[in-house]
Amino acid sequence: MITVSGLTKRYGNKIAVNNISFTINQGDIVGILGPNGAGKTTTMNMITGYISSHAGKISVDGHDLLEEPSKAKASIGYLPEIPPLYHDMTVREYLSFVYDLKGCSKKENIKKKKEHLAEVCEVVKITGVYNRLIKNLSKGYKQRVGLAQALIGDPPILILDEPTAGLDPKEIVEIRNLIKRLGSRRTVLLSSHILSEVQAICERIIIMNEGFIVMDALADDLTMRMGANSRYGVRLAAPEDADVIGVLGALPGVAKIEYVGSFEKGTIDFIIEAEKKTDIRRLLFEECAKRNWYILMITPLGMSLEDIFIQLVSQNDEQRALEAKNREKEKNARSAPNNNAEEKKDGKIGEVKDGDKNDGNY
Amino acid sequence: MTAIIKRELVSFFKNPIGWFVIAIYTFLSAILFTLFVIWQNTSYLGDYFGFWLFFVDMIVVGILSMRFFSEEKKNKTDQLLLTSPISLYQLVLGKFFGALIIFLTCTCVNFFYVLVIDIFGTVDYGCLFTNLIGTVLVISSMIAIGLFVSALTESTIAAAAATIAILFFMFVIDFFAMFFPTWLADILMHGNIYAQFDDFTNGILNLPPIIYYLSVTVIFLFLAVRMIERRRWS
Repeated sequence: MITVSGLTKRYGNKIAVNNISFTINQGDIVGILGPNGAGKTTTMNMITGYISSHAGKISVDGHDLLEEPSKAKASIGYLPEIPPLYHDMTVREYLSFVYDLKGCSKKENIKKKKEHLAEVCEVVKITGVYNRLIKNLSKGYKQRVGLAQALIGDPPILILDEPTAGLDPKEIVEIRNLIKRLGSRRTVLLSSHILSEVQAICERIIIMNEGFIVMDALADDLTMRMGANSRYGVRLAAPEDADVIGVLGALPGVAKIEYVGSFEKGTIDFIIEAEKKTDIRRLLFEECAKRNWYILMITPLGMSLEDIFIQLVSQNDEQRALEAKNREKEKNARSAPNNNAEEKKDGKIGEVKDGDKNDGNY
Repeated sequence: MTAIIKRELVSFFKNPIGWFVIAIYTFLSAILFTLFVIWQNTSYLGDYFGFWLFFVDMIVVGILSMRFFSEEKKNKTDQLLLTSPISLYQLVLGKFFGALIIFLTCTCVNFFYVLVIDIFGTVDYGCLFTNLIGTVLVISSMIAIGLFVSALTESTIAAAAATIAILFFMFVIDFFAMFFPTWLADILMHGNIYAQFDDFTNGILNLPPIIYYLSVTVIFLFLAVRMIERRRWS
């Protein structure tokens, strides 16, 4: 549905989006996640054709954005971060304008204007404010009108940039549910810097930072991949005087053990965390069996998306710092033999060494 | 394109600024009509359509230019226009024809003045016709310049000020001609947006002024498209 390859966008010296590539298949609900300034909005603006890229290719619904912009754009319904609303128009006038702007009357598969607008209003639940001026609507309703605008023409792809930004909790839940409903028969790409939001709506997550894609994975896989098998919540039935925390904490491969409380009579609950790439489950079982302690419950505790995000971003920063360091080293190594050769050629290398020695002796 | 034209018209007549523009045009043109026709006790309309009405047109186009692209960019509604499946040419032409229709609506008041002359004297319909044709052509080129300037900036005030400044410069451009070499002075003399209007006021329909105004219109509309395109690439 959407294929992006080698996409790059620069603003002066700053690279906002750096050579990113991904594919979104039909029916996917994909979230682009990242802090402010990660390049999410720029990426979306390029996919929708609002701004142009400096390098790379974008194909939307089989149409190249540069070669067939009208066809590519006709497949997309776009809701930017600030809904593009004309505040001097009523909802009816505005949606009617969008219907005409998208040339829906010429499309065979689209219903007549009145019916189509009524249908869209029903979906996003704005029928009650249909004849009201947009400037008099609440932020939540404005967002819905923006969403309705994106749905006009029944596009197969929806691109939503921070669709719940600035809404109150009730409106956030409603808009999320609405997006989920819309995603049941559409391809949806949405961006957010609110991690729980992406987790709640999307099946696949693309994490961006400083213009790069840091990770692209299924939402569930992402948590698992980032070490869900190394942290467990355990409920154990053991004698009251048993030093459970001390004994299990001393097992090889255990990084951390934390007492949580006692929620059933004669049991204790704790969280045990293994060192990286270590599976402590067998060892834990054997130790407990040896001491006649009964494991009543063991639950893998995946990292929250917040944890994953911070870890990925810091890993990415570390990796890039390392790469920069290596490049610097290589550069120095490459320039060093040349310097030596030049120095030898001038017959200076021995003199310098001697000079050094002399300095040392003095 | 029709959708853009419709949107421009609806927006203009729904906003107080639209009625304000019409009021200004009507008020100033009424003063000019009184000064150059009624007080002169003449039915000749050339003086009325000439010099001073030009200034009024400049101010009106300046005010209108705020709304073209600067306001869209400022309110982020340009995202809707630029991501919709219409070409930039359709967008710019939609804005252009929208503004032209709005301006022609403002100038409807002139028919009232013609009626007044018709009651109390004789209307020179030939002269009226060439003046109206000339006015449409001048307004078209002014709107095209306004569209181009509006595509340059996000500030509505700057768009209006710059449009009026550029139109004024084109109005007095031949004054600067004396400071330049002859070949450039010739070009500048012919570049005066008002000088080209003389024939129309005298009831003459000549080809060079028509080509001049059409060229200015086409060139600045093209530049407006290129400017929007350039902003997308920057």
